Amino acid sequence: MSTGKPKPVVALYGLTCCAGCQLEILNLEDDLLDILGHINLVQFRMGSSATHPGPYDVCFVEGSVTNEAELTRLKELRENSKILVAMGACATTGGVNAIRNGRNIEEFKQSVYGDASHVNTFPQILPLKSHVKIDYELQGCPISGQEFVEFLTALLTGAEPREKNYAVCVECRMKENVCLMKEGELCLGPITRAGCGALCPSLGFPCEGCWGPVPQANVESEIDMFSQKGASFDLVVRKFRMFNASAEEFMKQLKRRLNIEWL
Amino acid sequence: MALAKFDIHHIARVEGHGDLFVELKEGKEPRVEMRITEGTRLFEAFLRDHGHNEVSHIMSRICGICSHSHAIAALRAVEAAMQIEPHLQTHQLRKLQLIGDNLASHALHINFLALPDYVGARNVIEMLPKYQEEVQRALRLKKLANDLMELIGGRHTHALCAVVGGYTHVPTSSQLQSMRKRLQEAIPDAEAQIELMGMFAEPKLVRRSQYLAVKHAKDYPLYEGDLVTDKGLRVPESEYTSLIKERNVPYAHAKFSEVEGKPFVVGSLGRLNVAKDQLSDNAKRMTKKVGLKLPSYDIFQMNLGQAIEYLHYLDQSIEIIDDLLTQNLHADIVDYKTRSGSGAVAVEAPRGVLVHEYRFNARGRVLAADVITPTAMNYSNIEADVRSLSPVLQELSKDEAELRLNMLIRAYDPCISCSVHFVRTA
Ligand code: SF4
Ligand code: SF4
Ligand code: SF4
Repeated sequence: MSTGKPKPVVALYGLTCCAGCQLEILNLEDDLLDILGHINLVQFRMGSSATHPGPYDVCFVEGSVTNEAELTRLKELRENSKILVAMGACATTGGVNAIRNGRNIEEFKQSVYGDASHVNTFPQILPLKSHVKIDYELQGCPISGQEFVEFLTALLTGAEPREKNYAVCVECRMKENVCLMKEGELCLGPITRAGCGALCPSLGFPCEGCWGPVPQANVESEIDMFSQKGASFDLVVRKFRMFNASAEEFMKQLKRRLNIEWL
Repeated sequence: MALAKFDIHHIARVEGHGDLFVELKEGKEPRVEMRITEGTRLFEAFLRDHGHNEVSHIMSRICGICSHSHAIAALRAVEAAMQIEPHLQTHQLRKLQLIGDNLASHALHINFLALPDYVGARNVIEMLPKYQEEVQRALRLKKLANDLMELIGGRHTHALCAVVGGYTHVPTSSQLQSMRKRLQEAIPDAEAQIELMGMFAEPKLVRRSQYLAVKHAKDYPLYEGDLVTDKGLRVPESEYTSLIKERNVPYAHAKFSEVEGKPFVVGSLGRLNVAKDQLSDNAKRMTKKVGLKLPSYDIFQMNLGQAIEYLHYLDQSIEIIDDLLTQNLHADIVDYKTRSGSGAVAVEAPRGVLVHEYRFNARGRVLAADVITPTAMNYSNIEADVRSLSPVLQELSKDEAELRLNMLIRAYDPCISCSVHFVRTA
């Protein structure tokens, strides 16, 4: 990384989420001090009481927009940032926050709060890119620290960050894993974007799709494969919706193939 | 007329979004409100209809900082509901995951969230020039904990190979051996961390409250047991509703809790005040060395308490690994039949007692869910502490008073995302 230029002003923000993606950055113990030497990290509520109104060169946002206040905040961040990066499943595909989509939100609120008149929350959770222009996305639930470092390094050196446009299966085969689909499991690896290094299948657990859809995902053939393995209609829907209920590439095809109105 | 007003927006260096509102009035009870503004996530509602084997991965996403605690509480509750009995190996691996969660969170909180206040910095970066060695040590202690969680759970945040009835993957003996070596080698670091936190006797806030932990006959609070208070109340974990009463407050998206109508404390002081005799010898020795008298009713000692626990949990994890090394470890999931039923359990998350309860139908689908998080349990006590601090606040300058309030809240290590709106579903 070159250090001749002034350090870029970087901010980290969290909307509604579990903060796991910010934590993944804090967890880069080995690289953390080095990274901090190359950027000017001005806003990091989880780790610092210092605040900075912007403008920012790069702003990373984790979490979902769940109410008006958060929407306003996101729009301000967009205006104040040269580069805005959506970070994690909550911000890119809705993550688990979007499981509520298409369901009866009033009933949901009531079941949780009893009298829910003071609870103000959007019925639909959308990816951040549906609200404002997003320059880059980092996927995963949580993101991969390594991908974050690669991404930042590219930005700092003026290179275009590389997108992985292939599926988890590719990484899985490179690791010479036994395919879990052949063992009867329901794995979303064939239609999920690579980046995690096929983490789950390498540890005996089928992919749940947290990196979101790979470009040109063949959703129909995945649904057929699941059905052939005896998966119920419900189970297929739940598998697709766990991290991707707001990922249009999946939901459109799922809706068409299974003829589901509410999706 | 108001004597003073504090309106602290978005308390920093805590997890999640919350504000504190305090109004001191002449001759009147001060008005204190912990306003929890974190957006709503509706976990208990959208969890319904999910399969019993999907619960732990979804509930893990309640919180990144204590994801293993949520996942393991969920797994234990599912198993309690369906009368599934996993093997010893599974319980021990889960204890290691929980210990990893506690170690990582304690290292983060002590050094990155609490410590800056004590040395007059706004964050760990500002501490660097003067406290290079302390920061490096903190990073080592944090990394060790992350590596432990990754080794057992497959990833440091949101573990993936712990499933209902067992594990899809287990570490090899040689991996466990090298982890054991690293845990052993970290003991001097853990001791130094205790000595560092032992130096900060000020500020103090001594107020006798009630203290609650998950007490087990053999082990220091962690994985299972009864809910026990320092005043001698005891109920089985499955009967938590008979002890902990929740109530709604109009200004927060979280429920507040009380025991016998009064606030109570969970977290490191909860555990230490209820189970100090179960600490490891090392931890007992260091407690004495820094002069911490237990039970302690000074809430600011939560920070030192976590440092002592870091050492205790190191010792405990070494014991567990020694035991695991005598067994023939293999990926192991017990057979079970899906059935209807309900199960409620309590574990010790880093911030204290964490309760999960689920009810399932015969197909193993979720009918209802209830979670009470440690931060939500502490809110009522935080407000009581702030009220008792009000005479002191009037003597301090505005900036000092705000710093003191922030430090008080940070001593609880609150995890606000966790605490938001977990209440029983109808
Ligand atoms: S994407 Fe996952 S890890 Fe990241 S903030 Fe959202 S829930 Fe947490
Ligand atoms: S296990 Fe999953 S990710 Fe791996 S090759 Fe098979 S389908 Fe693809
Ligand atoms: S294998 Fe799938 S579910 Fe697992 S981390 Fe990778 S993308 Fe996420």
